[in-house]
Amino acid sequence: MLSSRRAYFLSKLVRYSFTFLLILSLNFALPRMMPGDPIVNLLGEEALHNDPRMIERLRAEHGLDRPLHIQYIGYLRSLARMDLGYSIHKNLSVAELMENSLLWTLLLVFPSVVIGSILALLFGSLAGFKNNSRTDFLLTALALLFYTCPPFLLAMLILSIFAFHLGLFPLGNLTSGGRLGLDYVLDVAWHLFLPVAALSLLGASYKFLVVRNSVTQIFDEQFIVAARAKGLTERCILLRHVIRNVLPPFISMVALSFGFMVSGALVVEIVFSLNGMGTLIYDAVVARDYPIMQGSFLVLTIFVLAANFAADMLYGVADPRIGGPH
Amino acid sequence: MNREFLLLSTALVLLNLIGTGWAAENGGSDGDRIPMLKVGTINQINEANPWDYYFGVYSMIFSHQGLVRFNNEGDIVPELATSWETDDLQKWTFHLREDANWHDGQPVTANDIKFSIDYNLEKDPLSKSYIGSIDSVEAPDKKTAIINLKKPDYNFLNTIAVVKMIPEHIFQSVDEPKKYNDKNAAIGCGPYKFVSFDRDAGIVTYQANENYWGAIPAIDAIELRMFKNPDALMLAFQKGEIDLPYYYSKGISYYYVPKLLENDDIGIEVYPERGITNVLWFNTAIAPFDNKELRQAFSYAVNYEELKNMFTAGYGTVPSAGWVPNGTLYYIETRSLTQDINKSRALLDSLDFKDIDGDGLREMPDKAKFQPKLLTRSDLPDSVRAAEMLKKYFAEVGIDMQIDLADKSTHGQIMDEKKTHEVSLAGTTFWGMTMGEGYGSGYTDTRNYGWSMVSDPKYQSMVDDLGMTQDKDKRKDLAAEIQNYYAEEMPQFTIYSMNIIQPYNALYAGWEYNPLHGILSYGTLSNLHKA
Repeated sequence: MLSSRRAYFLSKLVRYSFTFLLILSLNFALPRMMPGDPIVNLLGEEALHNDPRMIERLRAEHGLDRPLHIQYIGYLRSLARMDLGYSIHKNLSVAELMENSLLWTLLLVFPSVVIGSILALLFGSLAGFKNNSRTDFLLTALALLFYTCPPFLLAMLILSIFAFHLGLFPLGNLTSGGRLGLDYVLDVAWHLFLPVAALSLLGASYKFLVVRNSVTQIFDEQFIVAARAKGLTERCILLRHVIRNVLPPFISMVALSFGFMVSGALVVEIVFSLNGMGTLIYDAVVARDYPIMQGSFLVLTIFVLAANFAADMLYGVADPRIGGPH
Repeated sequence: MNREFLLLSTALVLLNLIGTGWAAENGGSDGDRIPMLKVGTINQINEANPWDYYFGVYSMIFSHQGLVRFNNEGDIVPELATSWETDDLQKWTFHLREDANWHDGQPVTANDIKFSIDYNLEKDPLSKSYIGSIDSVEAPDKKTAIINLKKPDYNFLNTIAVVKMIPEHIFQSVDEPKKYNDKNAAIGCGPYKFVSFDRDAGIVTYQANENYWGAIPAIDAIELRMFKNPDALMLAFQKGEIDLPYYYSKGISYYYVPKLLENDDIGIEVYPERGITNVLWFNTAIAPFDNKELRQAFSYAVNYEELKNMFTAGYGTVPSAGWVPNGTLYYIETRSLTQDINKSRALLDSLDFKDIDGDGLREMPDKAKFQPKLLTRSDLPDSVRAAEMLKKYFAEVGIDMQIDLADKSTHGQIMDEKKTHEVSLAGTTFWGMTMGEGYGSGYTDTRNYGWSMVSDPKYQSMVDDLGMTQDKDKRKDLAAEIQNYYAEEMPQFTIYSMNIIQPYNALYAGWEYNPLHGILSYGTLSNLHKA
């Protein structure tokens, strides 16, 4: 049993390593396959004298004049040295840029995913459990409302109501500036409250619908009839049998949430004026800033793979049949 | 006891009155001073480094200076140079003011001017795009700088006006200025000193320079707060968290205006735009857009009045065929652009662009379908909408225009490098219009930016003459010739131009507008006071 689990773990590890290498190559290739040019972008409107030598000099400065395979080898070598390069547009190293943005994205996304997932599991189970009841209708209607509401609109409404009209929260940014110690922590929490709330609601809405439907379906299964026949209480059936069966698809969803954390957070970052990975990548894509795109995609790759790996491992815990002898 | 108490009380009251009177006398002006001006913007500063694009822009407004600058009328006036002279437009001699100091107390010298230009040319390849015409800089004495150009250029003052000077004693040991993010990198000689940049709070702070050579700044400190979207910026403005929403080189969208008008504490000024919001550019280097009658046919198809109402809500102007915006030196009246569908059709017919297959759309003289591509930026919603309106207008005269959307990067690559566009929609800035030899020649002349790729010797000769002519009457004639050339040849024409709508905190008075820096002009910085 133990060796089969180890084999399962190892086979996953080998597969993930291969995927990681493949993605590293894609991270290099994709930005360069996009139309547009980082140097022409850098020159922008200031470059009224379109001197080709200047463009060539800038290309050489950023190593973009070398053949692609040489650039690729250089990219892999830099990665081996943990060197993510220097931004073409932002005058900072990619590591410096990401260090700051990643921290804030994690502070924004991690609580949102956790809160959103808990809300979805809790209310989704309740709605599924009380299928076709008034509670179910109300919760489902609310979830559909949030699910179908464009993220930008929802975030703007939250900002407008709670920050502008009620004045309970700030209109954006991560801190008020000039705070230290506990005051700073509380200030950051105050600033992050609305963005986390917006992301949590957005994340919870679609997970809620999946959980609710899963719970409803599982309640029709034969083993639930058997459990009822044994005389188990409804609460006991829900907690011991239904939720446990909902968990594998739920874990997948949560893992995917981490994967989509950056794209999901982008709109919220823009509305609440936050410096996170979403806007960093968006700006880099618009400006064709290859080093930032490569570095950010690498970090995202690691996060997605880690989240999926964790989900794979958790499947084994949630469902002992997975990774077992079968 | 009572008597002593009475005496003491009287003395205290008298002292209080004297104190109050003194404070009122001295605080009359101090009371009008603005302790902190909060400016909100969506321009994003990444690092407090003058080579960061937007920090560079705000440095030029607050903390750094050039030899000359644009005044509120858009004319060149002295800044670090008190006067200048040139005989041949190739050798320019600047005499520097005696009392200008860097923020760390060191005097500004001609060596700093020479160093700034040489350093920029050496370290920043981008600088070649605007000061590449400089051959050498000399500093014969501490207060005289001589700039030698590669060829005569009348317009040189416009170019040098946007070059900010940096202190030699700070940067002489800095090899990579773009990576030099030290606080000293922000030392300038302007009316404000850089204090701090808090990235997480999105706040850049400046403080008045008490040793500034000019008028004492009227505002003690300036806080620049960055937002990532204009709606949040405008909410903060309506809530009174900021005094001024500021966009570099443009105003706010008109749809915010009705809400702002409800607020008595908010004032709104509308200033004429010295750039052009949206221009239709033809690549005159490729057929059939090398034909002026065809370009004219396009121009007669457009409903300018409708575009003005739709995109500017009345805060715009109907453009004229001479293209150069009203307010430009030696601007002349040319015909107003109006829609004339019949004239457009007649011109197309005369050029043998006719509908052969009866589908309502014209074919080219060689019988091939005429489907010109209209390139515009996908990230600018107004440009996309305007492109759709143009498609509708052109369809009315039988032109099957194909909209080609491209993001900023791809658009730039096509327009600036590959030059493969056929027709394009894009705006110009005030400074862009002054580039080259002015009058939009930077955008037009193929030897320059050349979005319309004009290489007509007649046009280039006018541009060259402008670069070499000092005589005012001759310049006036040349400016008129160029505008008439645009009106007749139409290598590009304006489809609409939006004025600058600038709201501000009406509790403060003394706001002044400058065509380069907008309402954050020197006038505002030195005259703003409580209303």
